[in-house]
Amino acid sequence: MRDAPPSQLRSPLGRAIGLGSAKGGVEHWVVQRVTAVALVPLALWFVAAMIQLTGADFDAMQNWVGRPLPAIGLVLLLIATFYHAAIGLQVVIEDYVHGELARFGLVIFSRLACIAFAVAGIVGVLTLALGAAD
Amino acid sequence: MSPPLTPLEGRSKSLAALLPRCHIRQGCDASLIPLHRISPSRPASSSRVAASRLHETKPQAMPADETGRAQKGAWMKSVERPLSPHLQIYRWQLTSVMSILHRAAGLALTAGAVLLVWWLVAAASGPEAYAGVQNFLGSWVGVALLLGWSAALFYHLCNGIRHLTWDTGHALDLRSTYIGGWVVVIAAAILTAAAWAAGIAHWVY
Repeated sequence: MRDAPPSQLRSPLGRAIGLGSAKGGVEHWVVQRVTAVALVPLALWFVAAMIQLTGADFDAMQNWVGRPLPAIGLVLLLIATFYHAAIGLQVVIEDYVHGELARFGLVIFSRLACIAFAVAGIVGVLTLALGAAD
Repeated sequence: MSPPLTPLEGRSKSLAALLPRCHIRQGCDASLIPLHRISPSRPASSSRVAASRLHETKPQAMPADETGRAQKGAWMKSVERPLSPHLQIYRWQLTSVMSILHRAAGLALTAGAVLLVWWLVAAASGPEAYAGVQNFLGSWVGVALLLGWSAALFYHLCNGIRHLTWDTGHALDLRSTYIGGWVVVIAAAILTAAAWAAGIAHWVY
């Protein structure tokens, strides 16, 4: 038994379920698709809104974000965009960065940056929507 | 005489005739595959550049007869394996270019999303900060960035729908990937042009 290759140490149930020691791996793939589907209408809505806002001054922009639906749309757009971006960036980094430390560091950095930018954007939208700006 | 190295250097007009012989995993950067991992499928007697490149990195390890084909035996399987072409000698094609552009557009869109956050935070900070962003976006650099951002967005959006279609198991054959590819390219170009036409019209009138 001591000489058995590692694959034989796995239980039949473990082999059938197909999960490794990470107990997962498919979530990234699924979430990437889910956020992609969400981003199709959100991105089209965003482009249409930006066209409407072309040449708009500060007051017009503030009024637009101050309405509930645009504010909701922008928050959802920011969440879906940066979630999707974080996963996509991770895949790109893992494909092209080969040094283990550099890869790990870049994945962590990109993930933190995505969270930071998403939070910043959401705070910006909420500030405008809740009328805290002068 | 050994047959021509069609997938690598062929100048056939029909892409479809070339493609089935050289499958590269989508998103796989061939330049990242160490050359010694690629089994030579052509003999050393071939004067073709590609074959000689491969043999430089891996000396002929199997016996070959006068026709250049490796003798049957234990080596046969690795010899007959399709050759993975190096990017430098690989012919550009719509599908691989679109795959590369999808990633590039995704990276560009991340930068665009940062621009959106800057715009929103500036607007939340007050009229002065907002005016600063608007001045930048109205400059030539800003307009160029917005143009690139919108083109990347429409391309990534359309090609993303193509990817989602593939994920359902549809349109995976060679013909469909090319038809879908051209549909995406044309749709992205039309949508980008239409968005800018609408934006300019809204701005002027």
